[in-house]
Amino acid sequence: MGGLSFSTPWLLAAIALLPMLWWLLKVVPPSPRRQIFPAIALLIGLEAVNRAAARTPWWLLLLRLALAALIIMAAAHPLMNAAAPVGEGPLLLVLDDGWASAPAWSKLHQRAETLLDGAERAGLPVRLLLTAPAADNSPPRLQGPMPAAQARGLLDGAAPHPWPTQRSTAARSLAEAPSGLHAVWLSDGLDGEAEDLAQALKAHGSLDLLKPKTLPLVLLPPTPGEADLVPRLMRADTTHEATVIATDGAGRELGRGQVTFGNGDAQADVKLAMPSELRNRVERLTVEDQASAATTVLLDPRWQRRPVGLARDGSAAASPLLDDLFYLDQALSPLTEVRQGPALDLLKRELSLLVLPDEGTPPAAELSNLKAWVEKGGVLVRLAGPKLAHAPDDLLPVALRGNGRTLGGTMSWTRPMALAAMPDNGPFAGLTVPPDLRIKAQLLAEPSLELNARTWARLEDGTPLVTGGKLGKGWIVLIHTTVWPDWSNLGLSGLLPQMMKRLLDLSQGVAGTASDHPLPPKALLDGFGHLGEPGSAVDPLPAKDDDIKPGPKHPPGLYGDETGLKALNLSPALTSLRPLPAGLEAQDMEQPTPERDLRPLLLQLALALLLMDMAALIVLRRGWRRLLPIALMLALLPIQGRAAEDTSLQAALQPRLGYVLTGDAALDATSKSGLVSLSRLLSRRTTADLGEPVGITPERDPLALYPLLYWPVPSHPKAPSSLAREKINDFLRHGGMILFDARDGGQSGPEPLRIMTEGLDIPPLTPVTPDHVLTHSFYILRDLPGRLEGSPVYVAEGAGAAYDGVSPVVIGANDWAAAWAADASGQPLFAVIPGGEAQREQANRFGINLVMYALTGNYKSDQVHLPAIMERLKR
Amino acid sequence: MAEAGAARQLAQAEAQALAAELPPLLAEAERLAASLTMGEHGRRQSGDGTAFWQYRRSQPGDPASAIDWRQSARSQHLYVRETEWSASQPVWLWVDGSASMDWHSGPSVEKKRHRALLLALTIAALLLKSGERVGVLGSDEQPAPGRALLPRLAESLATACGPIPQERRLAQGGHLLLLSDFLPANDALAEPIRRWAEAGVKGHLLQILDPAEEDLTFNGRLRFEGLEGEASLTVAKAEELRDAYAARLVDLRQSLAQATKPLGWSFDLHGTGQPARDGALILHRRLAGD
Repeated sequence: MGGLSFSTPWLLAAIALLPMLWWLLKVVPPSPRRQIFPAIALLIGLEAVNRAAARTPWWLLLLRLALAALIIMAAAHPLMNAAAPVGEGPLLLVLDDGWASAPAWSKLHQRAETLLDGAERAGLPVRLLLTAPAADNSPPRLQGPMPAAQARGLLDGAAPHPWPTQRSTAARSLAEAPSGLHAVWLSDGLDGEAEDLAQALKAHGSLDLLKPKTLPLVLLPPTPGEADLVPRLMRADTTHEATVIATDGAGRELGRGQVTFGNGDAQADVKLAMPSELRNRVERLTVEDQASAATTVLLDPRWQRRPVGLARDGSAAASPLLDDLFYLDQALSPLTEVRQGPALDLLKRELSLLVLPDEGTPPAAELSNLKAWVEKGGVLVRLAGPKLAHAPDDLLPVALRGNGRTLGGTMSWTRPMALAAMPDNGPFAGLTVPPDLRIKAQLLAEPSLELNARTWARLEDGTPLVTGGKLGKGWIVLIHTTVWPDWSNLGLSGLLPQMMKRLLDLSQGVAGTASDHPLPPKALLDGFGHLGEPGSAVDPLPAKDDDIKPGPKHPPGLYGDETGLKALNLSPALTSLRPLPAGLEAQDMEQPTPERDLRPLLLQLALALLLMDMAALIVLRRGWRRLLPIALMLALLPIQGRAAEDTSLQAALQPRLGYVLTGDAALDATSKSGLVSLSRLLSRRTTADLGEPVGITPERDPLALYPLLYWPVPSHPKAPSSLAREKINDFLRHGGMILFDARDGGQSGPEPLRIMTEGLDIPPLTPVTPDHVLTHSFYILRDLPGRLEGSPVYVAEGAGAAYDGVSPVVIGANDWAAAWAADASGQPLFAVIPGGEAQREQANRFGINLVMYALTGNYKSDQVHLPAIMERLKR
Repeated sequence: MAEAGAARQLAQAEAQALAAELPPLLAEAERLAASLTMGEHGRRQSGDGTAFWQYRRSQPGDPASAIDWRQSARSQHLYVRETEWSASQPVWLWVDGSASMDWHSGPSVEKKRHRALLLALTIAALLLKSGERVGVLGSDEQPAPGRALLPRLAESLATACGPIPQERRLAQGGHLLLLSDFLPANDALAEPIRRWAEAGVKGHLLQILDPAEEDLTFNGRLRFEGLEGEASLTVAKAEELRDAYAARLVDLRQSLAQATKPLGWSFDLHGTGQPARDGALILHRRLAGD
């Protein structure tokens, strides 16, 4: 296709009428100018001399013929690069709306729109088939026939789902459809029951199969427990490179890795190397420029790696085989990062589990340090030995009897004892005990009421082997025997690594008792891989079942509550990733050049010619002088248009928000996006209709035109120049308002803000109290969160008495613009911390309150005083 | 019934619109009149005017109050002071009310009718000031003296002047002012003029024309339309008609002058392009009786 085409070409036949028009126009000249003249009687009889037949001037004739030709052509509706005409028969539009359509969704949507346009022009009914099950778990079904306009409504409501398509179900739903349809299948380009659907479609008429240019990728989650995060990327076509990005819960990038596919490989691994502190904050892996549910991997605590410390006071045993820590190192190294060193040194870094070998009573300073660390959430594992038996300290889960006991040996009747089955209440529940494990000596616990609950592993005779107790947020665990083969062969058995892994899990807050109930959905992915609030049709995730296929009932996302969190990812359920079978011939979905409708252009030209014709008639009848005022008016119009482009003039014509340009492009873009969203929100929820926000430079732009300025603190703040200082002070003195935002939740202290506001007349400040107008000006708010929350917001003391009762500054650090910021489709750009749409809504409400405060001042303070006023009225 | 009512309402509305124009017109006329000098014109014989005429010897029967004692004291005889007899003449005014008068070639010149009314009122104001009796030819009222009459005159000039009332009989020795464009040329005027002239009325005709009518200032392709139901006329180049038109206008004026001259009447020209004062002076001179 391409080039020029007409949608109603038969109308062009009207061009044949043009010669007739030519003749008609020639015969009928434009009527002469009218002139009233009382002395007409004196003229009668004179005119015979020069009643020359008047003719239409040739240029007017040409003008009118061109006008007629333009109108005829416009009526024929010319199109540039028109889409393939809809084939014979009603349109059947098949859309893949599974996860795989997400990367190419906009193109798919655009193409579908073009097809619907074509169907509308041809007046054909449309049937619509979406091949993925709907969010309410109803299978795909054929919709229609319906008019194209209605189909467009359905199309606008469609979005890719975060689960696979069910094409054979979709094919079955075609059973009752009539034949003779022209089917266009906008596919995601991947195989998956594609043949079934294609055959069903062909059975009902003709089929055009379209696929996107590039096929989607799939990102498989890394194996939990490995030293590095190594996600695996799968491809279906010849995509060569991709970038995997690791982000934390707030959307901050923590690391990225470049993937290069080998020749002919369908899979490639990427190693995301990063320090374990960062690694543990990774909550999500995504592929750059490939937003879909299958390229978004959510990581739950299973993937977190907690560094383990093995405390060692310098002196290693003569042989490593005689050392407890050697065995533990062997057990823990595959699981996580292991550090060795003096306990106090280890505690200086982030640590989740610390093993304290039997090295005698630690000094008092070390004890208190250890205790404080455990109370904050650390897991302290102590190993028994002769020294502990000799002098037990109080950093133990249970009280110990003075001496241990020895089982077996030359002087004893007893034999080394095996372990009983693991009790159900402890973290070791479910571990199988190797039959050859023997304990030769152990430390005994004082019997007490809680001993049974604190015993996590016991010998056959019921004496505790591992005890654990909670201290603060952390745990203290004691293994009542040695790990090296002095008292037992625990260090040699396969049980030790399993036990250590369970203890590591403990440090992550995933206690063994946690996930025995179904996990409610917490935040779910949509088709584009954005986390959102769960819908009502979603079922809780069964705790014990690991083989759940993501679908409408269980969309991928995070499930769980405060006791634990589990991520359900889509990609492990995707077994195969193959392009459409070779037997199906698919065209490229993208059009080289978009369709262009020439009709409006032609009609505009015709209108211009019509105006010229009218002007010509005015000249012919009334003379040039009549045209002059009209021409003058028309000439003035563009001058007005040019003047209106001036930003300041625009700002003066409509109130609008302003933000101070910081020079940091990303920050300025966030400010702009935030204020644009806020302005949009204001016009939707309130009567304040604000214009497009404007970025300003205080030195250059007039400030007085803006009721409120947003001034984010950049990472490297600079003091304002003296000119800017003067203008800002003037602005503040005369009713302006500035929102200073340190954007860091108050972490970096007042210093950056102090630098930036140097020399500004900022009145004494006070935190916003619950009865301040700012919390009542539109919504009633308790706290004023932004992207972050919790840091106080300051306003002028005494309600800014010197400033007409309105505080000229509002100062905070909650990064509000980032919370307001949204893209064109209204999707928020930044995650809010600690999170939840409720916090974003609060942030939006704060924005509305703030603008209302800036616009209406202390008008609402009456509401604050309402109780007092009512009291007075009663009296 | 309804139609007649509607027509009456329409006429009333027109009269009101005209009446709204009158006060400024009157003021303008008064101002113009003040700029011209016209006193009572003496009859050059003794009468009961106010101007001194002569002293004469007292005769029996003269009342004692009539004796001018100061003059008498200078000589032996008693003298009576006689004043000049100043008689007032009836003057009739007529302003053409036809549609062709209600026209101007552009906003820079006033309408012919407006100019005619202005001139008529100016002359009326002057005449009334000097004690003459003034009336409107179209109305039923007889000429009457008194300056208070002026507004009523203005009203009847504006409303009651239709086509020339041919049957109207006028008193001997009176003056008649006819202000019109005398378009289109019609012979209906000749008969009443002759009759009135025979009755001893002295008439003054003033032709008021628009500059465009005097010179035919139009150019190009035009369709001329009349105001009094004439057929329209399309011409290709109006400028080519100019000379022929001028000749016809001269013919018209000559025929009017020839119709009036033998009767002792006057015929003058006035254009709305000229100042109104010129027209008023012409009429004034004619009335002052050269």
